[in-house]
Amino acid sequence: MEGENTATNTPTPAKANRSNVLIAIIVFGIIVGSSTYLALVNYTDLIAKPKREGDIDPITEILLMKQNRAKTGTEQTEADSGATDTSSSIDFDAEAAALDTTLDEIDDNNLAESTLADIDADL
Amino acid sequence: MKKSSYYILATWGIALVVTLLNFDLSLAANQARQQNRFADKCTQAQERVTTRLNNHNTIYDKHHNAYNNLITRLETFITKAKAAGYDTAKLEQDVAELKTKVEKFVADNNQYAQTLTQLQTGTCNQGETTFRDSLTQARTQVKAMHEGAQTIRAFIRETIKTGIAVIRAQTPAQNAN
Repeated sequence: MEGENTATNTPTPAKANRSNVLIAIIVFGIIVGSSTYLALVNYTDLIAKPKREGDIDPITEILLMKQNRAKTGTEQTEADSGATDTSSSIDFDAEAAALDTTLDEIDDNNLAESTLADIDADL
Repeated sequence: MKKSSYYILATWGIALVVTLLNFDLSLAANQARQQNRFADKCTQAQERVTTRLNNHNTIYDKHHNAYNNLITRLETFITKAKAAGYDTAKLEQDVAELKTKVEKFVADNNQYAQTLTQLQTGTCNQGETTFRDSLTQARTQVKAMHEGAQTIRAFIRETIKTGIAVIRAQTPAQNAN
């Protein structure tokens, strides 16, 4: 009788393996889940969330700063490999047009030799 | 010789003297008439010179102001372009050349204005030849001004504008001041 009871209570190796895998999956899930949760909480609380009412969140603030730099012509864009963007401060078309406009305002023919013809006619 | 012959010779002599005297008087009168006629014409011409001088000063001021404005604008452009990292050396040379051309235009104007002033005030009493010579000189000087203005125009349209286009095509340097 003693021998039969001992044989019935001992767990088989296959059952023990399934339990270990289950425990490992649960522990892994807890670690991944808690890490993701902490990452999300830190991002929203410490970086993205405005600290006080009326504050601009950091991402919006960075975007606004970039826009302002572009307006003053000092932003170095990624697209032009670090070249200075000055298009907003130098208008090449306006410069060329201003030269033409100024020249159009004066008439060189007013300085022609023929302007003295009436004096010749008097003599 | 008979006495009557002396009378005839004396009469001819007197006639010759009177004729020569008349001729001389006629020449002098003719010269005086010509001088009076030129004086009248010269006075009329001087009135026109006065009008021309006033008109010219207005025209010159307009040209000179326009050139100065262009130079100032170009210098401002060069400063901005240089600060943005563009190479403006060639345009700076061109603007310096433009300044030289404008300086010549100013010098030509000063000479022309001086000649017109002489015509306006003094040369009538120095005779027609002097007046005409001064007028010829004025014509040469205003011709130089006209050519100078045309040269400046062509230089701005062809050289300066091309210089701006060349700068536009550049990729500005990163280490701009």
